[in-house]
Amino acid sequence: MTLRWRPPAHAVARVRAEAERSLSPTEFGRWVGEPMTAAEREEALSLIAWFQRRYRTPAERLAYSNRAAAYLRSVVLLSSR
Amino acid sequence: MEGSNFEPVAFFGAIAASGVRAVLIGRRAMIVLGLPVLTADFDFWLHIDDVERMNAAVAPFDLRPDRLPAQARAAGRYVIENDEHVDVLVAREVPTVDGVRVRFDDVWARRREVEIAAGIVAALPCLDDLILTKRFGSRPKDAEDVRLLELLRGEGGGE
Repeated sequence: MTLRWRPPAHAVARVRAEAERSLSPTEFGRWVGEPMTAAEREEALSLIAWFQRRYRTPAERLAYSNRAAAYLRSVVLLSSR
Repeated sequence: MEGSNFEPVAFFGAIAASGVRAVLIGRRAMIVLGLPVLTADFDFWLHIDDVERMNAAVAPFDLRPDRLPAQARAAGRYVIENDEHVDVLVAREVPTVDGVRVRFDDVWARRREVEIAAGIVAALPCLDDLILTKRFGSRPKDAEDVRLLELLRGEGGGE
């Protein structure tokens, strides 16, 4: 797969910091308790249905996740240089 | 990027054959259950007495622990890594973000076994416990994962 764009290192660092920040128990509870909108729910269920249809067995799902992880590593490592 | 020769099915087979008490948690467990999430590592919760056997089981994959077993037990966690990164919890109990204490022995007793491939079984927490283990973290992505798992539970999936 040819990548036409890679995120700059500072953007990766900002996203990582946001994803890794700690929520307080109150914030966490509020986040988890936020009901999904109908559109959000429909999109999530559609993705789950696709994933389970495309990758029917745990072995297929794990193999897919390893390929995806290798791709992610390549993007993040290269963009950090 | 050249991938390694790591093979997930063989990895789980080695863990199962070793007889260690280890449950797969985190996003890889979600993936096994059919949730399309991304992750670069594996997360296990391991019985505190099984560190040495776990290390021996994954050694053929060139995976090495980052600390001695006694240090891992004292810290409550350690990492096994090389081409793959495996986070291992070894605490007897872990609190959730909101203070619920979750005991390994209880999670192990309620575990479910999932056939990864013919004759190879991985232990996962039951869905309720997997949600609890997701509450060990307090990051936004942990909260999102809880929402996704609760959606799955609401739809009657994952069991």
